[in-house]
Amino acid sequence: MPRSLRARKLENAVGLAVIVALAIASVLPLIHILYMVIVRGVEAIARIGLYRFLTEPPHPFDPQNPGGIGPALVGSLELSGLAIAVATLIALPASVLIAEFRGSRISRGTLLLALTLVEFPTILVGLTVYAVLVDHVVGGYNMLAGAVALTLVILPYMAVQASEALRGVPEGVREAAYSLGATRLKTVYALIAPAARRGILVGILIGLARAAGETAPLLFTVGGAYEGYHLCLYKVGGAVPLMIYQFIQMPYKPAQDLAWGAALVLMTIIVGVMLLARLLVKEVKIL
Amino acid sequence: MTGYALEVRDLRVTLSGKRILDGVSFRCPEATVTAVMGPSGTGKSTMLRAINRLLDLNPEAIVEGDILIHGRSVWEMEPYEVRRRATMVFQDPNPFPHMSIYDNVAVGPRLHGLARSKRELDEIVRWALERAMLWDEVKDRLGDPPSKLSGGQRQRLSLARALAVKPEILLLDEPTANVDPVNAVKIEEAIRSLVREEGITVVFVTHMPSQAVRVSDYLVFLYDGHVVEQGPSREVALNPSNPLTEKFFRGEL
Amino acid sequence: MNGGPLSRLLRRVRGVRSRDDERFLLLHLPASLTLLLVILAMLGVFIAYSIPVISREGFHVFTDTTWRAVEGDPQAEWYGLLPAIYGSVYTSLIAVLIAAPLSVSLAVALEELTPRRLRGSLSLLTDLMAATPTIIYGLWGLAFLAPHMYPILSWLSSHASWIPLFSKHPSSGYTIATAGVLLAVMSTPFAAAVIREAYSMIPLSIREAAYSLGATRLEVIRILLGMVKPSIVAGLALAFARAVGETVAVSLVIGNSMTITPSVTDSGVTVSSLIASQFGNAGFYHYMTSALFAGGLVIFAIGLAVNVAAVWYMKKWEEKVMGVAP
Repeated sequence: MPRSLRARKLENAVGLAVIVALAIASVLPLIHILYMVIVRGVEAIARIGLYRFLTEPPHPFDPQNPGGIGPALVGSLELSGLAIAVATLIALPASVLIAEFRGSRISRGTLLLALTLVEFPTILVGLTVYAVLVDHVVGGYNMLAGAVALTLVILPYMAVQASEALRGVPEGVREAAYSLGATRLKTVYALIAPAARRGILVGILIGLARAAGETAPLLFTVGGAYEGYHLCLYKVGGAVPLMIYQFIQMPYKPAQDLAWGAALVLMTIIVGVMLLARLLVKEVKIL
Repeated sequence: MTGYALEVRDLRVTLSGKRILDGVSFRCPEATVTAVMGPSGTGKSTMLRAINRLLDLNPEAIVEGDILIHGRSVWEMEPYEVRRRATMVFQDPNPFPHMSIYDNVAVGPRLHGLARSKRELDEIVRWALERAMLWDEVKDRLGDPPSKLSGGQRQRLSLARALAVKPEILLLDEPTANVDPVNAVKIEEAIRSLVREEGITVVFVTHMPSQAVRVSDYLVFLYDGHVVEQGPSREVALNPSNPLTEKFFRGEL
Repeated sequence: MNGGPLSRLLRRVRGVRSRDDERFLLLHLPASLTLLLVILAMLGVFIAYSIPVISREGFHVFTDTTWRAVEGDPQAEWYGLLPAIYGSVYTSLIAVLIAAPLSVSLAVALEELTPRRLRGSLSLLTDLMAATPTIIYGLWGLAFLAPHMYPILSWLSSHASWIPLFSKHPSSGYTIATAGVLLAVMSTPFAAAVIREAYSMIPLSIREAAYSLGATRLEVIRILLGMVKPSIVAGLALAFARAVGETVAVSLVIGNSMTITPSVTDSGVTVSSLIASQFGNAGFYHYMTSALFAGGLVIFAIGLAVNVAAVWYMKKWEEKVMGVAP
């Protein structure tokens, strides 16, 4: 018996409604997270004022004067800045290798390595860097180890993203660039890479967002010290996400408030970076 | 009832602000082949998509005018009812790559619940494949994916898939344009016998005047979104009344 | 250098045809080697650091359930990772089971049902979901999800305790179920992105073919989902591997107790949450650091196996179904 049109119409309506409902359900948590971070974060920051919150060291046990996240913020800037700089210096040539020698085994191998590393749990990167830099080279928690760990976390992502951007450069542009007769090095870095600059920049921005937000690679590397400004690379230091992780577990209200305030600062950075990336390209790939 | 399987009345289509069809009208008597011919880019594919209501999917498309299937306006029906009754075969073979040959043909009857049992479904699949002149070549490997077929076989599989929903009207969009000559002949043959023996009404879009004359009972010459000339194929072919039609037959358009 | 052994080696790479090309390739090789070195270093570190505990306990470190840390007496120490391995797999499975319908729906809704005008802002939202740091999810899990899961889970355990899943009455909201739900929330945007990418690759002609047969919208979606099924499997597999490796968010909500239980209303532990919570004290014991690295080795192995399988599966499918040349 033919299935009646009415039954199929009903099934269609119900099915589509379920899909839409589930899709909405899957984004609701994020909206609630944003709401909570804003409400609690604003509350925490308002108590002391934005400027003091961003610059003063924390007093997690002092309800009268809880202080701010200054040292952690500076630590995060130091770690992310270093990580982005070093990761770009390695990721860009790696991506050029992937894109320029397309079809060769070395290009495919490099891409496969990068894709594998992208999916590696960041806790493993942190443990590896701990074993080498903390346990053996320096002999104690240090900021350098944190910067290296973050570099290794974002490096493969940035290499993949940049290689895709380079691959998107039209063949015509490539041929025109090469026809000018410059060395391959000049041709690629002066003419072809700039044609892909938006995509490469987006990769760097997303890398920055990840470097600023990662916690697990820092657990076993930087140590977590927030009382003063620790900029020395061979000494312990702190970072915003690590501070959130450590302070939220303390049974003291001021410490937890500091964590929420820090979360708002972190989310503001992430959202800002994402919007900037979105201005540059239509589709942002975060995988 | 009008006695016509398909009537197109003053069809006007705008795509992204560009007028593609500007008042197209023609009628297809039941169990005949109407060839819609014209140079490429003249709106033939758009016209088929309008009849099949595939343009519903394109938010940029504005469709005006009326299309009647056996006297009933397509605007009064659900789009999926329209598409089942007047189903379409496309220029490029497009079988579902993840389904076996059998499942490709069976997917339509399954959607519409046309078979009560596995045996009935087998019957429909066999009938459709035979009608598309593909049965003998694939009967022993119905479980294979379509990627194992040649381009021409894939196009006949697309035809069989369309036939299996038991349409009243078949809309063919240059079905032999990307197919080798041997397969093209088979497809043309299959279509003629479908019309003769199964009473299906066919709209056959082509940019080749020779093919249009060869396959059709009626000719519609479409040029730049307008119907320039239409009538029984023989008449139009032997005595084109419009100089444009003559030019098209001489291959000058 | 011309014609030397190095030159001959470099010329074997496709696309190297001149001295200029050779120099260019040579300059870029270190970047590629860095990636190789990182993977090898990771593997080397995890094997080297696991050796002490493995040479003492043998394979039991992966199959035993006892976790005994004794200060000052290395001979009395004993570490079994099974509860943590069990917890990692269990919570990740729960996460994937919940994320499956959510991520498929999210992908379909964005690709198929969202008007073009809204698509931009909606995909910004999902991008943001994927970019939100895990610590933020953890914070939310700790402060909102866990306390709100508690009454639900206690109700379930008092009314449906005959189901093994709810056999234990929860002592708090910090449970296996909470970790699973939190992981599901975190992995949904990621799995959805993988599915979306494949879905958007479906050629228009295939979509038109489905519609032209008279399929309803839902039926077309079903046919097209059948076509991208491998990407759904791969996306969920990758999400599973990520969930296994997820650390801070899970460690904040799972309760960290070394037990093996089918009851999702009980607290548990995962390998990564165990590492996160114990690593700070591990220095006081002789074998604990090594045991934690052995746990890392397990995550390493699970992640690598799932990733390689998923990537391989997708490639096969792209070649076969999508007709993409290898």
